[in-house]
Amino acid sequence: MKYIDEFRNPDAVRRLLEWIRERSTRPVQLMEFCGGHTHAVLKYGLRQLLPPAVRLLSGPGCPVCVTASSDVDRAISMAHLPGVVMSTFGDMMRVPGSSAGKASGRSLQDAKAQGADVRMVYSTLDALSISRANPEREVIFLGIGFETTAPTVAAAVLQAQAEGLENFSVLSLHKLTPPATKTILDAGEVQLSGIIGPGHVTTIIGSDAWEFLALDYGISCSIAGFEPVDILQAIYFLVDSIEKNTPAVRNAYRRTVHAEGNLVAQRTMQRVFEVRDAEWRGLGNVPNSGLALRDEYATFDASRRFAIEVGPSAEPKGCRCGEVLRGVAEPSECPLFARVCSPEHPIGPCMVSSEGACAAHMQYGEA
Amino acid sequence: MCLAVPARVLSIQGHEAEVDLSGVRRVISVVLTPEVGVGDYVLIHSGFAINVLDQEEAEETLKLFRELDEFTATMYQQQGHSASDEVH
Amino acid sequence: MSNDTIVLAHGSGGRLTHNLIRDVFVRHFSNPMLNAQDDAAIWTPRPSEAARLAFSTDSYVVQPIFFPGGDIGKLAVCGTVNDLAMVGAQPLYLSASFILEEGLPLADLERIVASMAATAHEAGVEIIAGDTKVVDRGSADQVFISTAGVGVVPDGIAISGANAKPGDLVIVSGPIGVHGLAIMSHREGLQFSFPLASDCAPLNGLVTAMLRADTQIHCLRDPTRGGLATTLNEIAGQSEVGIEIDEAEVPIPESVQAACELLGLDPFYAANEGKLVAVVAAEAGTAILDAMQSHPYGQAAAVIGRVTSTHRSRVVLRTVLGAHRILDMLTGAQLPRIC
Repeated sequence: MKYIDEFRNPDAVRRLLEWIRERSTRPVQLMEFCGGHTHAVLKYGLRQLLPPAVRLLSGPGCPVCVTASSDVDRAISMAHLPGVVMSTFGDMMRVPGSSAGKASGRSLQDAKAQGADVRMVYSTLDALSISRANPEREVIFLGIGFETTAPTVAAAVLQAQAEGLENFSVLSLHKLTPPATKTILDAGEVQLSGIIGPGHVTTIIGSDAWEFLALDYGISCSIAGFEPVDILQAIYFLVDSIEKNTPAVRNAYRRTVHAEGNLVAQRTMQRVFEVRDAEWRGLGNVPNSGLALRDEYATFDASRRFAIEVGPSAEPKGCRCGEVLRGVAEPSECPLFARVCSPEHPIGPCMVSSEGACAAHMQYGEA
Repeated sequence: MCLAVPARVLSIQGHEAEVDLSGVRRVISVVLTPEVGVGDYVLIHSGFAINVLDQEEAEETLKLFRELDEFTATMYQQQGHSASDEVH
Repeated sequence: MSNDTIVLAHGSGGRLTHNLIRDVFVRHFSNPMLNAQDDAAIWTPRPSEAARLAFSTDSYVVQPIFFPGGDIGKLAVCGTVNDLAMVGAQPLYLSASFILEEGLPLADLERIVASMAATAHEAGVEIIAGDTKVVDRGSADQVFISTAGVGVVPDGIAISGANAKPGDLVIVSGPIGVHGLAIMSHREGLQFSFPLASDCAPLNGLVTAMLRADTQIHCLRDPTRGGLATTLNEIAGQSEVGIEIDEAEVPIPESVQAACELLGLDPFYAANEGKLVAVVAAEAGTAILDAMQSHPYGQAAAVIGRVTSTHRSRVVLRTVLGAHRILDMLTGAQLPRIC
């Protein structure tokens, strides 16, 4: 597979590891922000292969994991409304809401078992198809994801408007990544020498969007793709910047990341969405980090079309997802990990999402 | 949401394109990449092309790794190691 | 009443039922026991047959009912034939029960039944008993099929998921992920330049060839739902051994890999309907592998790993990069990754 296989080449990986070993003279802690990176690191066993001086922490870049439990409750309640089809990406099916919502089902999968019409889709365009095919039903699309996904959802809303679809709406839980990074750094809970930046988010927003890390926080950032060669190249750049004591934002994913990003995608996103504060599971309220549909698209805004009352977010007792998301705790340090909380019976979102640190650790645990 | 896959554009009809990844074909939206042309590689995410791949940059990166061999060999020679030592 | 779709009366036991049985099931499955149409089939075991019998049952509810490379009927026959083959039995006779949804086109039923007859013929089994019920529109998804099968196990054969021993070789009969991805791709509207067809196939002939080469086969299992990873974990758990797999040695077709990338799936968890995993004594490896590669359903057979006495009950994967990680069994359904 072109532009995939070459970046999984074991020889290139071996050479990059040698470079990293040679260059590194001191222990460093790097946060791999994005859940996709957590997944890849564990799938390929990169932690084992890296020298012990390079320590990787998982960050909150798993959009499923950081969805507030009250928002999950809201989605479940909407799914139960008469005539509604709730369409969602697969990952969200098993995420538990707060335990207060037990009557209506702990997750969208539960809701489906109870009779709600919940359907898994690969794209917002699939939700549009469902709307066209079922004009008498109300189709809600559960909008999860960061800046990689938000433009695609925005494009679908514009498409719906152009077609005059009257039975399609989006429950926008989309979030922005730079503000969350600031929140973690401002909290000062973890000592970070560098950040492995999200390659596909940055494809959209452009590497300039991360300059603040070097300028304001003195932290290096390396934008990384998702194949082993990409990740290791990014780590090499970080180690190199750290050794030089020169914080810098470097692009290790040059085949798709550029300084200004994808302007058409950014404009599409800005046309449909405006920025608001948002609640992130594990981080609490993060200012200016959420996307809500603008007033002119109110008719496509599920939160306005369907008024749902939900209680405040509640965390299951003992669950340390929040700390895992902030890089403060390893999954193995959570008392529930692998005992009460497992992929078959997930308690918290870090175990449900295939990108969640806990699920990745269980599935790909080091041997 | 980070999973995006590179595929080659076979044909374009308005806002849609048929793409190919190693013989597997899919129709996706190119409304976010209006500059795309047939033969380009695009990154696909959730049914949309989100960017056109810069093939020159891709080749540059790959070339760098091919050159790494010589670089590493030189580095090791200078430090008295053999380049073929298993480091892992 | 329409002549070309299934109606409730087809299941009522009266003339319509009898006509359906005569014109569709008996016509295609035709054999002396079935043709007698008694309430049960009777046969006398041949003196040459061994004393041990094997018996298995399964149900099939796959959607869509017709897919590239097969249909629900072919799947049903192969499924039960293979379950019997996986314990070293020679399959003899099958039963087939049908639950039909009112409104199912008769042409579809006929197509499925003809496919079952052809598959049974290839496998050398006869379908000697059956049943038909019809339910209201909406109460079943077009057609559900349940099969049961009986076979004979030759003396000296002891094949079980609990028999793996440290030092044994782990062999897979061919490329994985084909059936699962053929179905998913068909559902998601992926096209292929070389169409991906289900690998659905009866494997009893392959197993016979393997046993003829060497009887030191400790475990056999077909990695259906849950995929290769789940099956390996089952064996590791039952035998209380460790299994180490070399990722680079596992055959995965490029089309399956590409479809997995596009759909966010993992081929290790995708269903296979015409493949088997064999755990064999190390000294028997070459002979068995040769026999497999000489058989149409084993041409791409490969040794993918070995049984160990470390990390018991767990399966470890040596990744293409040389690192080691756990290969866990599937939990829940495999949900495609969008992230």
